[in-house]
Amino acid sequence: MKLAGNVLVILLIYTVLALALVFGGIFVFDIIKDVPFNLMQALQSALDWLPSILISGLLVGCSMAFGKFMKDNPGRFSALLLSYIKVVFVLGLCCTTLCFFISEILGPMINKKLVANISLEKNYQDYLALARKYKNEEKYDSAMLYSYYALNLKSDGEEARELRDILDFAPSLKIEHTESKIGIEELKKETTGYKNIPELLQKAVDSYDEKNYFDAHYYASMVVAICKDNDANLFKAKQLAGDAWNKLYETDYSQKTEENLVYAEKRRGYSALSQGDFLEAYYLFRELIEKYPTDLDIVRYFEIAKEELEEQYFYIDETTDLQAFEQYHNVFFTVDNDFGAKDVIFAKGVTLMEKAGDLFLYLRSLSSFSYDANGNFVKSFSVPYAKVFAEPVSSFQDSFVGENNLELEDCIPCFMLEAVDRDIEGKKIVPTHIYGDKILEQKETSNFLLLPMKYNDLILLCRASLGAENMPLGTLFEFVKICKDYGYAREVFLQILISRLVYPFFIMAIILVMGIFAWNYRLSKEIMFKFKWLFALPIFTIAVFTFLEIFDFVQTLFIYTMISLCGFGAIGIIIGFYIVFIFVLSFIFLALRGK
Amino acid sequence: MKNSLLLVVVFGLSFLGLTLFGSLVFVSYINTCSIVVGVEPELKFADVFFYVLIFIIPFVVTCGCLFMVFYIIRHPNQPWTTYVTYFLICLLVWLVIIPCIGKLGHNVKKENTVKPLSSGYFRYEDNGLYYYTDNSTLYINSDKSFLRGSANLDNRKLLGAVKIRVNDPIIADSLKVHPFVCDVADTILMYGITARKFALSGYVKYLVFFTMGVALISLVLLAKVSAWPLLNVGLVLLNFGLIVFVNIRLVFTGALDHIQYFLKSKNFPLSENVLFFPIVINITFILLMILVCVIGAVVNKSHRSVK
Repeated sequence: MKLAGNVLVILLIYTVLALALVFGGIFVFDIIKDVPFNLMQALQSALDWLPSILISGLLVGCSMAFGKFMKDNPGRFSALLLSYIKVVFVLGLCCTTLCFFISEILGPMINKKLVANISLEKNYQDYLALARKYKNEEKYDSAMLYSYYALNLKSDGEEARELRDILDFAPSLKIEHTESKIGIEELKKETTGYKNIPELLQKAVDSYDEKNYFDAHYYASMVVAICKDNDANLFKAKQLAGDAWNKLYETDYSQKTEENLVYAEKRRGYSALSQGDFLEAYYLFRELIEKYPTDLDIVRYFEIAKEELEEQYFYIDETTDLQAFEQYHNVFFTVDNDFGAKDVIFAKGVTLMEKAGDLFLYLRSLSSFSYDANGNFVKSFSVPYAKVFAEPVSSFQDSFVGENNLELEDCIPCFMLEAVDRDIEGKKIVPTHIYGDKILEQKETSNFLLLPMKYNDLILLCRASLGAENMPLGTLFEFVKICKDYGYAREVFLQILISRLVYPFFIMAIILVMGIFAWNYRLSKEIMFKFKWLFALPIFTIAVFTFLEIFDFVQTLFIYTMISLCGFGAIGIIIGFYIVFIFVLSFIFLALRGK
Repeated sequence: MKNSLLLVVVFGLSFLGLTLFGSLVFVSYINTCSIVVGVEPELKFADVFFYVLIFIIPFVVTCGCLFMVFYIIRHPNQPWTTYVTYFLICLLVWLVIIPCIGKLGHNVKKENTVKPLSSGYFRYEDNGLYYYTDNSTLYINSDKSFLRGSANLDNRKLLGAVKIRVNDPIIADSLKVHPFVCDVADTILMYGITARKFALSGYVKYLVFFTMGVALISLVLLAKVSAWPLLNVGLVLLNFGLIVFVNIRLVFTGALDHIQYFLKSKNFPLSENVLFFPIVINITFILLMILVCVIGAVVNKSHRSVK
């Protein structure tokens, strides 16, 4: 116990002094280089050195204490050596745990913070350049948007005034958005509440009797849409829908009364809705709801148009503030395409959003490049933002499921590519397409991109953008299994996984080697520790640092060779090797002699 | 006699252990560098083993001498025969083993085969992301631009191989080490090359290399500098590193040539001789070690007399 206390005191004093030296050194170095002191960067450097400091502290501490508590000349496998190895093991485990905590939790956290700071500055500069560019080109909408983004990232930058000027003087981009609050929730419930055909048909008949022909047509059309061909209700529903439609067009508009005009507009909107032009219907009802917020028809069909629109598009303003909250940057992967080859997908930033229990992804600057089986470029598209949601595989045809090795309970990512403005009609962001072949250019493009991959894999790929070193161990383990399918080198990810898994064993083995070293070169009991020796201690830290780095490199080489030989089996072999190695080192330690 | 024999055993065991370890590391290095992701690896052990052995033995035997110094530090009360044995083994290493191995390696050539890169993988290089198909290249610059080109994999492989030593740039990132350690590794790699170069230049030129050997043999002077053996080990290691680094990276590479030209222009005595810098620098090392050894002995003696 005394020995452990003694070594621990030396270890702690040495660690504190060494860390102070590292921090001091960085501080002085920053002053000489005339750069501001960055605490995070200094902390990262200090943590890089900490394992070496701890191990060399342990080496020095053990070397000083081993001799001090030695009573007589101990033989091989003596009780003294057994008690010494216990101390080395206990302190070694503490140091190993600390090192593992630093490498797995604290280190990645600091690294993430540093990377975020760097990308923040870079994004700010990008936005600033874009805001200036669009201002000069008199494209004020874009100039305002980028000024807003830039100010969001850094409101006290040197250029903040210039950006605020753009925001103040450029024509206003946003129109005040008012939303009718009247009974929307109740109406939503009402429109979605009727699930079975007789109920819907009854509702259509009731509406027809009440001369509410919009609702009558709407509910009758719903019945037509969900009825099977042999359903007895189908004929009645069709008849009712036709009658209601005719009634809608029977109204005389020769008198330009306000009532007539509103009715005409409502009918135009409804017509657009029933023809599937949800975009037109949405803007028509949006305009009407601002003027007539209490008209129940307008409120109801606005809500329906909105729901339908949101199934096909997302709003531009959903993405306005997203970049500051992006969790992942530069996400890329490949996925099988219709040409028998791969599509390359790249997104500059990804934000994960949870809304009502569903997980959405917003992908910034999404690009897709398609290649054919010969490796020739076929087509590409890029879009400023895409919204991704999970779609159950069960809602697709069985052939889609079978061809892509998916299971019915899986979900696939569905990319919504087009964005519209919530208020202004005609403002729409669509993908830009490039084709390698003229024939393809004539093909219609879809608003959606469905990728034959699991939604969870997409989430894993986003996490992979943090780098194999910064991914949580469990995630990395999962990713190694699938990475090859998405254009990532399995060898590299497996090597990093093994290196991280065996890191505690590696540190423990080095500590045991140092324990053996400390015993062999211990300070004699008769000799007092001299103050001047303190100045020589950094030699040991530098030496340990060099050894750690060299052996880490050597370990990487061995792991790669093992992966080449045994693939996934390398995990077990390397861990097994370390366990045996630690046993051998313990045996060697116990077999040491006093003289 | 027993102590001398033990010293020989220490040298022999460290030589065997380090040769085995070093060759395994080197073979793994060659195999790792030849990896192309997604391609079935062709592991070469027997083919490269002899080449590797020739390459690493000069450094391994030098380390063997270092381990003998560590043994002397561990067992300080050695008779004079141990020191004689130490010097004899060192002379054998520096005057027989290293030159002979260097000459033996003259005919050994390793064919450096460069394999084409595999398609279908992302590779980070030059601050951008590359994706190769069989017929085209996609370059994605993280700033904004996307370029499509038709550069094929066969052209790319040469660039990759020359620039970062490894066949596939994907592997390069995971082999990155701290710059200081990179210098250490480079020095170890250059050690074998330099030894072979001098061994092949004849015995007179080999003397230039031998000057470093003399400085390294003198490390035994530091074995008893302080009463704390661990400190002596540290000092020996530090000096070993310094002597090897200064000689291999500065003296033998011609990095000091301009100073020699300057001295020559000032008619500095003996400055035109090829042995000038190696001798001056290594003698300085030896003198410093003698000085430290003497100071250490005096201080230790005074401490003992005080007691």
